[in-house]
Amino acid sequence: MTDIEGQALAADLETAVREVAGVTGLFRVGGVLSNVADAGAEILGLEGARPPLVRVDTAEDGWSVEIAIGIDGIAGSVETSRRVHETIHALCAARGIPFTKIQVTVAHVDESMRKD
Amino acid sequence: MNEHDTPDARVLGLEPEDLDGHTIEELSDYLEAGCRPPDPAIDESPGCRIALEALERLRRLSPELLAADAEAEPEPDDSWVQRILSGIALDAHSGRRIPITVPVANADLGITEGAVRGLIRATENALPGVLIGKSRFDGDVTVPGEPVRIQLDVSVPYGEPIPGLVDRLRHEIDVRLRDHTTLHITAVDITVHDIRRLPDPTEEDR
Repeated sequence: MTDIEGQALAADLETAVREVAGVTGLFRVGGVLSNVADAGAEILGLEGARPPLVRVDTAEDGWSVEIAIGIDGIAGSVETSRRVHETIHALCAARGIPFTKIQVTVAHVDESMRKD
Repeated sequence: MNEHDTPDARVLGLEPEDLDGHTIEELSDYLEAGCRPPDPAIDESPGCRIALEALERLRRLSPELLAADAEAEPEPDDSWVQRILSGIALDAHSGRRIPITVPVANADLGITEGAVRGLIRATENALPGVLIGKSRFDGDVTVPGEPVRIQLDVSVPYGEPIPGLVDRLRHEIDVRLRDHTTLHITAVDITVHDIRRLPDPTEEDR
């Protein structure tokens, strides 16, 4: 798989994960430096260069996928992250893509919709 | 450090990376402007989102508290505000990655420490008048099954029996932690640091 194919996969994964019940959004995986670089690219009018929010990397024996999500507090992080994992797994499997790791991290919980 | 010092980044222990390069002051201004125009750099940062939500709750409550303070005390005491802001700054830091253990093969699931602190703070929604300062996890949250004890500093409204309020707060936190983590919580220790006098709602003209 080429880098371009990897980026296309990341974009498709991003679309699929946004459809998962309980997911409110995606956040960029990575530290401040990569985020600053992205912001710099936007300032320079290079928005097209902005990488997908899902990180897809090559590994020795397959691919690894990393994703950071925001979730609806009512849905619960445990159940929602499990569903996201299943979604990524199913999409990769359907395309015959070998992967070594699927890492899902909840970075934000939106509690505003919870009625107490 | 003087507890009456104006809160700033240094006092709050806030580093630029905690808020993806933004400051609490910038976020406060953004909130004041109704989050308009939208700033993707803020909206797409989980740390900024956590801090914005906490600041919004604090903003809704603080005028009442400050007004009550002005009636009750010769000099307004901003130390409680500082403690709350300090906690918000801590929440914004993503911190450690806490594993979520599920019986699914090859599933590497987790939640950031900042997100968990943020949802603990969001229990303020369920208990009007309660403000959460700092929360601390005692125990290694990165090791599945490890016993973890949670310690909270809170400010509570005057007039509510504290034991009942603390029990309700502990229950709300327990519900959220069960929904969002697989942590092995052994206790939630709550320390009431401030009792704030709120205006009597029956005396307000609405």
